[in-house]
Amino acid sequence: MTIATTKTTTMTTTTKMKTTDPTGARATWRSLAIATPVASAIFLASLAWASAVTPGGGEAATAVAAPAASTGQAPASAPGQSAAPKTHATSGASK
Amino acid sequence: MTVALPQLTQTLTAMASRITLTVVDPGPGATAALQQAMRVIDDVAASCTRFDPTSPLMRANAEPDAWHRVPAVVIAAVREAHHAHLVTDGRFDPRVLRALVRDGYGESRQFSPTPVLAEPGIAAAADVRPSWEPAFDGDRMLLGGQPIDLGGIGKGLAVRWAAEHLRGAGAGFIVDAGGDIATGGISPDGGRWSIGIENPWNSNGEPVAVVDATDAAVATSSIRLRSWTHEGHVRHHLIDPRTGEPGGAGLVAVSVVAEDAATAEVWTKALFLEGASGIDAEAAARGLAAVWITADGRVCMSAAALPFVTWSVPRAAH
Repeated sequence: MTIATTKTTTMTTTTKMKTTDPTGARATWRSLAIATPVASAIFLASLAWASAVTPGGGEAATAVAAPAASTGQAPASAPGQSAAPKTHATSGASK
Repeated sequence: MTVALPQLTQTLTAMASRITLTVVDPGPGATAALQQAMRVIDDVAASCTRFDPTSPLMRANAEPDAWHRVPAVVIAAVREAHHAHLVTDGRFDPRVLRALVRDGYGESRQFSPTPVLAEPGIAAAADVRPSWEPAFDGDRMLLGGQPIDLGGIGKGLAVRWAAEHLRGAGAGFIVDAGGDIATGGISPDGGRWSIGIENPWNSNGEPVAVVDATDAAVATSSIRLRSWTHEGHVRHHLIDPRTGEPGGAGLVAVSVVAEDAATAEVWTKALFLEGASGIDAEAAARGLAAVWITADGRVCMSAAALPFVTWSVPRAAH
């Protein structure tokens, strides 16, 4: 067991989203998206875009990700950030 | 300046993974919560493994036409697997065990540490419907005629149930089981939880995407590690129940952000089987937040994933 005892000097307040419907994944995640104004705007824009594409188009996802192609960022990332931000863990093949 | 908050961490190895559980800014009950969480993971691993012929699951698998008295955790896991089978319209099917054994994955094994990409999987058949009907009576269970493998949901369930013990034990927590990760509250730097999506061709390098998974879970299904050669053919562990063969033509990895790790894990596998040609339509139809990597290296994501993705690259570096 490892116990770190560093004292805190800075803490950022976060908003917890409470999910009450374990089967309503779509509604839950949409409501979560709306919690952040920037994310909400992107989400709504993507919905509008998604409704305009031909169903089953294999390039749909690529088109959504296309803004990242020129900058190396997803649409929600901070401008000018080209390197991957610090992460707390990585999801991948089990080691 | 941001200073790391105090953390209480424990690690264990289970289900072929190194699992780390951390409570951020732990409260007085954090140590007990961590111990309970670790017991849950150990319990799932010991009871639901298919690699120990004496495990409760394998004893039931030995006679799948008979009723068996099994521990509560096995009943709960099989019930969840059945639920996953129904909600995925049969795409998630633990009865693929026989195909895995046929293909040489009957025992726990070491896989090549370098990427071994599978031969193109067989395209998914259009017709799919749930067909598995296990039965339950108190602490007894009937598998319904065929042995099952809970490998496609077991670790997700262990992470889900462990996370339930850690929620409220401090200001935040993470359960990191490699592919399956669940978080809650605040991260050690006092902010939100950022989770990288692994580059299948360079697992130690920069991720291909970063997602904000605060109060959420991320799971990844990848053929980076669990691929092997059997009778001259490259095989992998993601079997399409519609064909009985490795599926997911044109895909290397799929990650899903969902409300809990088991849900995320199930959908990574169900989406993977749709292959590169069908995954975007299926993810859109289901409203799933998914990021996937194609065999030619493209990094793609569903519209529902955009609110979670804070950074990404268009292509995974080989």
